[in-house]
Amino acid sequence: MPYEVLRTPQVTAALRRMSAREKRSYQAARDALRSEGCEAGGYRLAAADGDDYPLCCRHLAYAWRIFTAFPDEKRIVIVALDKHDRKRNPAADLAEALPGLATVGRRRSAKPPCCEDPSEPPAMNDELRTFLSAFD
Amino acid sequence: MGKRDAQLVTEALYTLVDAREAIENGRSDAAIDALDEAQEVLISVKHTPGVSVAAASERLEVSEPTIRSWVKRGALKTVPQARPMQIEPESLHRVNRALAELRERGQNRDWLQALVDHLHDRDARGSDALRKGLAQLKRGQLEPA
Repeated sequence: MPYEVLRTPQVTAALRRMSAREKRSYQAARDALRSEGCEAGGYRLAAADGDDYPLCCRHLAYAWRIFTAFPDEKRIVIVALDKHDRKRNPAADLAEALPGLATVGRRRSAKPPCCEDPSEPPAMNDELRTFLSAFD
Repeated sequence: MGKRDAQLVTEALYTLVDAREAIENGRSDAAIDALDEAQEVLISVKHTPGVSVAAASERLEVSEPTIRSWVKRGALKTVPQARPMQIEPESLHRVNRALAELRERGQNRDWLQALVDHLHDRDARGSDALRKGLAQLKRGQLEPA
């Protein structure tokens, strides 16, 4: 079942800063979202309290990543596209201070998937529902 | 350093030797007394209110850019109006203790992994691009991807 994939102007602007190869990785992710839905969303972000956050993050080529929201079962919004700034990464700061951290790295498999079933995308919380009510 | 200050430093050094001997002989009360005395003497010597970024870097065993990054994040406090930047000793001490705790817990790989994931996700949620994108979403500014 194809999904409608939308994006914000922030994504459009960020795309202009991407190289050809980086753009191809974005297009591949977008196409995967279109055909597979939230299963192609990457992993689910965690909220500050440890619960799941209603946004997913998928890593692209190099340090680029996209954030996706799922207003309903048919529509997917690529909310943001940005390049992960390693200099601003608090984990990188700690990696220097904590022995073993750098070698442990990140086990992507340990991150919860964006969703288990494409027919059940991450539920929006009230805050994001309010955001989305503008175009309903 | 003036002659009087130099004498005070020498006095403090001898008191520290006393403290070491007391520890080696298992006399912790005497060691604490000697350390208090050395601290009191050293406080009376002219000194800066904070420590340099280089000294903080050495103490915490992280690079100077990381020290500056932690200052920017508010983990370390600086002495107001000190140029070049000086780190407040109390905050340096607090972070040093926290790091010791983290380093100890860091031996547990699962705990460490959970910490890394938490920090990565917190960083992602606070990304400027995401904030901007969510604001555009709120205004309904959407286009086909």
